[in-house]
Amino acid sequence: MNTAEKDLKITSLIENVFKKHGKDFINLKTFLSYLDKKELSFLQLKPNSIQDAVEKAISPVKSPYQIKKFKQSKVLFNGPLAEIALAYIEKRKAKTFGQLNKDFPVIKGEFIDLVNTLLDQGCLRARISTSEKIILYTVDKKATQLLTETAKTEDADLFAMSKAFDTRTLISQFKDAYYNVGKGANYVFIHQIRNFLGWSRKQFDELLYQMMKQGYVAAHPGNPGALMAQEVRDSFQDEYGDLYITVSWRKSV
Amino acid sequence: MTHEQGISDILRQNNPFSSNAAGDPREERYPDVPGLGDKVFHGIQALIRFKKNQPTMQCAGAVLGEAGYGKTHLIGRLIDSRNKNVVPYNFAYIYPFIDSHQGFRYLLREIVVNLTTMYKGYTFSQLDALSAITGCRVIQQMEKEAGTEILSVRDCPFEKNPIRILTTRIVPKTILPKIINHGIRFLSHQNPAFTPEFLKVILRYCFFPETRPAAIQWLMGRTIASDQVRLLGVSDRSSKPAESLEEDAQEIILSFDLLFYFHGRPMIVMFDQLENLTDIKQIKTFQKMIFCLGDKSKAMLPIAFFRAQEWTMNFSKQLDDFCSGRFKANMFDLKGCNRKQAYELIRSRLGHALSGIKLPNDLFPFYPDHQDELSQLLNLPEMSPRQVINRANRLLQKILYGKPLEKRCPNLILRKAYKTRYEEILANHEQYPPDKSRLILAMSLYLSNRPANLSCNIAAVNIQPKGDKYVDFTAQVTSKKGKAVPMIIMIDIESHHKSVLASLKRGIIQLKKTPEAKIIYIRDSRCPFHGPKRWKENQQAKTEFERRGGIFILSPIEEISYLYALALLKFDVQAGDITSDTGRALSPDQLGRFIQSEISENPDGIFAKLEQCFLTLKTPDTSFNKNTSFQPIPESGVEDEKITGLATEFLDQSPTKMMKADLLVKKISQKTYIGTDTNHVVSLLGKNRKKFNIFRAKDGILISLKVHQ
Repeated sequence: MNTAEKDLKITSLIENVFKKHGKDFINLKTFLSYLDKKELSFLQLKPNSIQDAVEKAISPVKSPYQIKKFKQSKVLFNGPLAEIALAYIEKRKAKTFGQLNKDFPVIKGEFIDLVNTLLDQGCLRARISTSEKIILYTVDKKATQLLTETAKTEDADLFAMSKAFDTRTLISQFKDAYYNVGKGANYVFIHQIRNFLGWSRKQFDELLYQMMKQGYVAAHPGNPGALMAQEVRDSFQDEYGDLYITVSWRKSV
Repeated sequence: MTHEQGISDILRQNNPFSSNAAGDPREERYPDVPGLGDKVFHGIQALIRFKKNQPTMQCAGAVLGEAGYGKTHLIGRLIDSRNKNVVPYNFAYIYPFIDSHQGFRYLLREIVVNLTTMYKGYTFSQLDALSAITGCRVIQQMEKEAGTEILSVRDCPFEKNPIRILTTRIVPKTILPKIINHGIRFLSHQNPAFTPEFLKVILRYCFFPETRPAAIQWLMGRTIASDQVRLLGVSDRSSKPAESLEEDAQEIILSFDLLFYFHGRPMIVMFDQLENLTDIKQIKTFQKMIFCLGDKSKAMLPIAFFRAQEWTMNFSKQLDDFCSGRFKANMFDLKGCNRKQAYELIRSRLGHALSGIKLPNDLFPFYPDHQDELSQLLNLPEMSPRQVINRANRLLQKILYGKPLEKRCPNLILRKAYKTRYEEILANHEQYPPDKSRLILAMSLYLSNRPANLSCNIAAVNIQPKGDKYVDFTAQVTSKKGKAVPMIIMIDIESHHKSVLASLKRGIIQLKKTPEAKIIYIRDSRCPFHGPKRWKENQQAKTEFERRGGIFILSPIEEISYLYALALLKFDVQAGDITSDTGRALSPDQLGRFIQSEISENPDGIFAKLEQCFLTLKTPDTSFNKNTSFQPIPESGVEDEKITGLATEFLDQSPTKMMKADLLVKKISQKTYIGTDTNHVVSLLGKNRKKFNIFRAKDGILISLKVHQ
C-alpha cells in the first residue's frame, strides 16, 4: 500500500469515527474505542495503546484534522478550530460563555481568543443576560447586513424589499430569534421576538403575517390583561382586528 | 317565502355561531370536528392505558391551549369516551379552588360530586358502580371462602350487572353486617393502606340505601351531624382541627385511588380554568394536589388544562421543578384548525342548527354566493376554532341582515352567561353542593363593586378578618343620613350542631357589645337548620340572635344560586371563557362594571334580600346625592363626533395604530380644549367597534384603529 492509499484509508477511518461519535472533536482514548480489530491492526495499535501512539499512527494525515493537548488528554478536531467552535456555538443556542467554554476542549485563554476572533469577523453576536452573563449566538452575516440596510428604509414595502432581500434569510433570522427568546418553549411572546430582532415595525408585521399565512408559524390570541401596554402594542394585530400575543413554530425553513 | 328565505329565518332565530364558549363540559356540546384535537385526545387515552399498566409509575399530564382552542370541548370528549376506551376510566372535572387552606377537602368534594352525579344516558352514578362492584366482589369472596353460596348464582344477576345489587333486596338483611365486616377484612388484606372507615362507608352505601345521603357527605370530607355519624358508624369529625380534616381528606382520596386500582378502572382528574389560581399559596396547594394524585396514587391521573400564556408566564415559573417536570413530561399542545377542519367546523355547526332540513349545499348560506368572502376570512392555515366561529358569524350576520355584525355590549353578554350559569346550578344543583369559599368570593365581588348611590353606602369591607373564624365580612354601612354602623356577615354551611351554635353565639356576643351593629347570618338551605326537637339549643340561640336584632337568612336554592352563579361567572371570565362578539375575552374589570350596573341596580334572589337588610338602616329624611360616585356618561352628540374624529386622526398617525387611552385623551384635550375624561372616551370609542378596538392591558387601556373596517 502506497502513502497516498494509506492516507486515504486513514482519512476514511477518521471520518467513520467522527460519524459514529456525532461530535466534531474526540479524545484520542475514546477514538481508540471506536476502532474494530481490523482497523487497530491496520494502524498497528492495541485497544490499550497510549494517546501518543494513536497520534503517531494517524499523523500521516494532515489536513483537515488537527490534534491539540487539553489537560491530560489529546483531542482530535474534525477541521479548523474556528469553524468547529462556530458550529459548536450554533448547535448550543443561547448558552453563556462559561457554559460553552466548559464543554469545549481547549484551554480558556484559547477559547477567549477564538470567540473574540469570531466576534470581530461578525460571525457571532453577544448579549448580556439579566444575570450579567455573556450569551453567545451565531449570526448569518449576509442577513445582518441586509437587515441593517432594511432598517434604514422603514417605509419600503415588503414586496419591494423581498426582491432585494432573501425572505428565507429573514425567516431564518426570525426562527433564530424565536428559539433564542423562547429557549425551547412552544409559545413565544411576539413582543419579545420583535424586541430581540429590532427590525422596523412594518417589516416585522408584514413578515410575521406572511409567515402565518404560509404556515411557518401559528399565532395565538392570549390575555392582553396580563401584559403591559407597551407589550400589547408590540404584539401583532391583523387587519380584522384580531390580536395575537404568542407564536408557535410550525414549519421548517 | 322561498325555501332559502325559510332557512335564513331559522338561522336568524337560532344562530349556531353566536355561542363560542363550550360551557360545562359535562353537559351537551357541539359535535366533534374530525381530526381536530385528535392527537391530544389519543395522547391522553394512551396515558390512561399507561397508568393502568404501570400503576407505580408516577405521572401527570398537561394540556396547553389558548382560550378558544377547545380545551373544554376536549374535556367533554374525554368524559364521553370513558367507557369506549380500551381501558374504561372514571373521571372528575375540577373547578378551581379558592381557599388554599382547604385544598384537599375541596378536591375530595369535587371528586365525590363527579362520582355521585347521574350523567345523561346513565341510570347510575360512578359511585354506584364502584360500590356495587365492591359489594359483589366481597360476596363472591365470602362464597369462595365458605364454600357455600350466599346468593344462588342463578338468582344473582350481579355477575353481568353488578349495579342491580343497589336496588335488589336479595341479600338477606341479617347477614349484611357480617358481609360488611368480612369486606373490610378482605379489602384491608388486599391492601393495608385502605382506611377501614372508608371501606365501611362504601359497603354501607352499597347495602343500606338509607345511609347513602350521609355516606356521600362523609365521603366529601364534611363534618356530618351526630345522628349521621351514628348511622354510618364512623368517628365524629366535629372536634378535629382544620389540619387534621385536610389529612383525612387526603386519606380518603388515596382510599378511592385504591378502590379504582382494585377494580382496574383508573380515574382522570381534570383541572380546568386554572387561571383562577392567582395567589402563590393556591399554587403551592395545587402542587400538593398534583403530588398526591400523580405520585402517591396507583390509579389516578391528574391532567391540568392551562392557557399557554398562563403556563409560560406563571405556572412554569411558580411550580417547583418536580411538579412542572411532571407536566412537561406529558405535555400536549392543542393546535388550531387547518383549512379543511375550519370548513368542517362551519359545516357541522350549520348542520346542527338546520338538522333535518334539506339544504341546497352543506355550506349554505355561505355557498355559493359568499364563497370567496368566506375563503378570504379563513385566510390562515391554522386558526383557533373560536376565531373560525367568530369570523363565520361576522359573515353570516352580513348575509342575514345585509349589514355588519352589531356587537352586543359586554353587559348583555355577561347577563346571558350569568343567567345560563344560574339555570345550570338550579337544574343540576347536586353538582354544585354548598360551598362557603364560592359564597365568600361572590359576596366580596358584590360588596366591592356595589355602587355607593344605592340605599346605603358600604365601605371598609374586610374579608375574613384574622383571628375570627366565624366572621366572613366586616364593613361600615352608612345610611343616606350619614350615620355609620358596623356590619358583620357570617356565611355558614356547617351541618354539625356545635359548629352552627358557635357561629350564632359569636353573633350574639357582637350584638351584646355593639347593639347598633348589623349582623347578618346567611345559610344555604341545603344545610338544614333543624327544628327545636333536634336542635333545641341552636333554636334558642337563633331566637336570641334575632331578638337582639341579628338577621338570620336561610336562603333557598333559588335565591342563593345567584351567589354561586356569580362565583362561577368569575371563574369563566378569569379563564377567558366569556368572549365578546369579536372573540375577545371579557376582562375582570368588565365583570366589575356588570356587577355594578346590572346585579346591584336590579338585584335578584339573595342580592335583593341583602339590599332589604341594608335598607333597614335607612332613615326617613334622606338628602343623599345620587351622583356622588357613579355618574352616567353625558350624551353630547357634537362633541362626541369631534372626539371620534380626532381619535381616528391621532391613531392613524401612530405607527402602531394603537395608543394608551390616557395619552389619546390628553392629545384630544390639548387640541380641542374639550374637558373629557378617559372613561368617557373609552366608552364612546368602544361603542364604535367597527372602527376601534379596546384592549385592557395590565397598566392601562389601549385603543387601536382597525385597518380593515
